[in-house]
Amino acid sequence: MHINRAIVAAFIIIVVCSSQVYGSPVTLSTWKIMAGESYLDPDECHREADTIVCRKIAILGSRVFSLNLDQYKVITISFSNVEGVSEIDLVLRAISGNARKKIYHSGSIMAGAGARTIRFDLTDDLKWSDVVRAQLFVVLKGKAIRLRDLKVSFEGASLGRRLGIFFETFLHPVLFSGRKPNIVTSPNFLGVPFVIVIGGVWLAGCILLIAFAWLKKRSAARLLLLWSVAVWIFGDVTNKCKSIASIPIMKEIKGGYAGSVGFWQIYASEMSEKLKTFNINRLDWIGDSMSMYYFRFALFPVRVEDEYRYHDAVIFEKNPDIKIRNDSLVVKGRILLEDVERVFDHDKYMIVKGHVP
Amino acid sequence: MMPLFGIAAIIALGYGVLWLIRIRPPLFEAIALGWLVGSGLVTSILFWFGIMGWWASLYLILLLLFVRNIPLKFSLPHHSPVKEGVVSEQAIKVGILPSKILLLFWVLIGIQILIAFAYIYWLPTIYWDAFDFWHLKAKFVLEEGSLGLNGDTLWMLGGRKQHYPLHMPILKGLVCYLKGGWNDPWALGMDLLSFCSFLVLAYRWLSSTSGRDAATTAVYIITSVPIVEIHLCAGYSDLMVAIYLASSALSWDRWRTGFGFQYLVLSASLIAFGAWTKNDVIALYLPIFLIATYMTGRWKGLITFLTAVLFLLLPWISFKYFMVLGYVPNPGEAYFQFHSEALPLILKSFFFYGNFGVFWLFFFAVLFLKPLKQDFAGLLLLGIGCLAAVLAVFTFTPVFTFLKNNMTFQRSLLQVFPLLVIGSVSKVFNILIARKITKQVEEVIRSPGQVPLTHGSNFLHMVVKDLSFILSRLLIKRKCT
Repeated sequence: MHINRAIVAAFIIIVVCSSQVYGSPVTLSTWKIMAGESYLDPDECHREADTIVCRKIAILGSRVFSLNLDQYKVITISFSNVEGVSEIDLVLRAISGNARKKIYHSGSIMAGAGARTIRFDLTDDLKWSDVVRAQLFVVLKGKAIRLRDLKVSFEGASLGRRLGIFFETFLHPVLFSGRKPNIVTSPNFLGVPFVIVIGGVWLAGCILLIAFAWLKKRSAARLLLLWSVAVWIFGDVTNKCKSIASIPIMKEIKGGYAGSVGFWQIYASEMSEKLKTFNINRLDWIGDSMSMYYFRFALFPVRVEDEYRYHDAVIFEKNPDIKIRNDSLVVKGRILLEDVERVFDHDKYMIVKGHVP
Repeated sequence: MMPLFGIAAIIALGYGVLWLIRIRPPLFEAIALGWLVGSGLVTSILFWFGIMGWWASLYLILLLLFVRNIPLKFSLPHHSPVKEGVVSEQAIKVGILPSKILLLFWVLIGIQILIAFAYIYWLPTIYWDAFDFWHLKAKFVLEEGSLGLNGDTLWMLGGRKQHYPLHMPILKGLVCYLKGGWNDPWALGMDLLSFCSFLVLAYRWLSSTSGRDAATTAVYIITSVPIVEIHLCAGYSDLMVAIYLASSALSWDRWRTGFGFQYLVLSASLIAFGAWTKNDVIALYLPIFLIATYMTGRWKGLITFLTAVLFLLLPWISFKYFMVLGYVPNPGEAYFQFHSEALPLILKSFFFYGNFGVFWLFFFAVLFLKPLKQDFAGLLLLGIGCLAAVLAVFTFTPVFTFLKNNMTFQRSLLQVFPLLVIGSVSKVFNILIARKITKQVEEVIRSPGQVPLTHGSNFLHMVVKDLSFILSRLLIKRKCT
């Protein structure tokens, strides 16, 4: 019993002391609403008094700042009020000499309105001692986003903080862009997947129980069964916490941002309305984009076909090869449709109707 | 309300067929089995009406004659009616786990089902394979009211992946038709409905052979892994394959342990419905079932199994052949390619991802346990065979690509996961029950007056019966060796 108490006390002392050796946190609180960033669509954001309001995405960028990031590898993002956010992406542009590197992290916060905080541990991402300057972008994705008082603080990566962040990952909702039917990634701590940690603990427990039973000349079978059940229940309960926390986010996914399909739902529902108005029941997809597969499903019974087959309505993702010139749709210099009429014209996609020449 | 009536009608159809082959289970089991059988039959029948019109009635009559006659002809003379459950009926009442833990298991199972229900209620179709083809095909069936055989060839059978079987698209299309239009929760909910049916079935059948503790534990483990949670609301078909595969194996094991030939027909039907859900079943699991049936040494069993499977599947296979739909994703590729680099990737997939929690550690540990003799031929062996088939395909064929890019390997493991859980859990509990009974017998012999009568007044009688059962098993094993 005394040994157990000593171990717990030593652990607490290590955790507390390790957090003392780092300096006080550094905070960024001035932000610029970005538009036209190359890695995401621009979107309509505006300010209402001290609140930033965005339709589906907000990209907030900091100034370029100098900071010894080797001592500040834990980033905390906090809002005094935020709502409508399904996913938060943190993009850190690290500058060391002439080299620039972008570090990406994604996370999720509880749905609904209120003050929210999320922390990221950047320790294993880069050799931070070389980084002299950095710029930070906070990307919020969701539906009818409202946010106030975004603050980002940098803190030292003490063992206590890193453990705290690791355990927080079990309480935050699932991250939809990481929730795939093929692979469920296990949260990492010190670069080791949680499933390996819990498996190791189970094996160590089994060995101890077998040794105990052997010394006492008793059967270990039932003890091993109960130990295995306890480990399994622990793993299950950690997963269930996350699943239950995710339920409110599920409610907001319909018609909003949704992991692998991004914002396609929003585009599809707007397109669907227009297609009904123009009485179009067949579309040819021009170009190459994965979103075609989603639109084919979402727009059905309108048939979206992935090869141009000389129909009089086409859909495409905007790119420099596709132009509308003199009322004609021109793809790589070839006229596909004449007398075109814009059925749907958005920042990313376009549907036009015309006549095959 | 209409979808609920539809579901009730499907269950009634399934139960009717079960009744014809003389399987008359209690209420909950009847509903569960009725749904699994009925939903498979309904989609097969609709498919046939879709391509043959009213000529499909002829097929239906033949089907009815088959299910009515084949089991009866074969079932009576060939085998002793004595049931060879793994342990005796009294022994399965022996408690291994504290009742509070079992209660906790049921609470956690309930929470998982509620979480899945909430997800299904709110989530739209957002997962790739679901919108790329499963739900696209279902929407096609719903909107067009046909299989698209007479229209544009690009949209035949719902467009994408035309060589994929149509059980899930037709079932989802049918339920949405009854709902009055496309409805994501109803389309996604078919997996949950089938999963709950499977849980009832697995619990009932496993508790009759390995006890309630084993059944509860197995059902809990199956429900609690993260990949099952995702697939309950993803709209994929791998979970359905897993359900049909494990149900078929349970039914096959019932036949093996003397429950009657009708269970072999049921097993064959369930594996056929699995193949009617995804092609993997024909290539990977059906051969394992045929080998396992052959290894029981009952030729009539093999013939019955093969006949039942072919009767349900041959029309679909013929249709694919005549329509030149193919069976593999890239027909031009060589069938066999050895990939030595598969082994480290497989090991990584087993132990480094969170899909199955720490199940694989448990599973490989259980393999080292010395089994009771009768477990050698049972569910675990069948499960290991199916797992070996999965591993072989990812090591010796071009499918290795999907292991390398992490696309489908975990989903293929999901297909065999419930069967492996049932097999390994029943093995562990059978061993523990046997040990506990042996210990109790030793105590009775040592001090008969002091042993509490925990299982009723016939405790001693039960113990003696079980001891003789275990001793007879050990003697048989010694004779064999």
